[in-house]
Amino acid sequence: MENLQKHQPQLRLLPNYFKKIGMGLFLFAMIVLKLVFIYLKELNPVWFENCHDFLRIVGFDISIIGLLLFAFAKDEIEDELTLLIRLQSIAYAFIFVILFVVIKPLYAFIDSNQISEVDGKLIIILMLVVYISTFILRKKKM
Amino acid sequence: MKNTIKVERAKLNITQSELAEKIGVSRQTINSIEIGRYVPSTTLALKLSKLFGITVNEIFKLEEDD
Repeated sequence: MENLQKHQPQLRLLPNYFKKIGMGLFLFAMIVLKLVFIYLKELNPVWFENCHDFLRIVGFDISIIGLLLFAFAKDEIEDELTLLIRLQSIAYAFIFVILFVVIKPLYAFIDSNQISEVDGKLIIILMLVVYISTFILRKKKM
Repeated sequence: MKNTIKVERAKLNITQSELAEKIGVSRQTINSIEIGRYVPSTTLALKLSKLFGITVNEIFKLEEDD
């Protein structure tokens, strides 16, 4: 039987504890860095002005890495149905992001006559969020 | 596709969770197979067959529109 399972479609995923690490990193980026932003602005406005962009980039990067770890860590029981739901969720996230990238600049152009591009990191975060939400919702439905 | 998993499970007097544990899948997977929402792989079908002591054809049957 174990030999048979080797030939089943598989995804190489991270161990389950990476879910906690990923969620921790994401919350750290969202809460701690936000607090740093608020207090640093009041305590040292000059330093804040210099570090603002750096902190924003670091915050985005930590959020992305956190979401990525969370998204691709194994569930407690990872079986063929979970794999199917993962693949469906990836497809939904992919389609959603493509539509978002196409429609958002078009809408901005029609609405305010401005040409705008969508930020790459925003696309990645959106894709991960849609993937994770779809995965969780579909798993609950099953 | 219809199946007799629920009946076979009742014969063995085991819950969905117990069956899931025996064949190494989640309870949701067993539930989805039982209600016909998900058709399992050959490996999983063979595992069920081995556990119930009947053939795969006796567990899973094609319906007219399949």
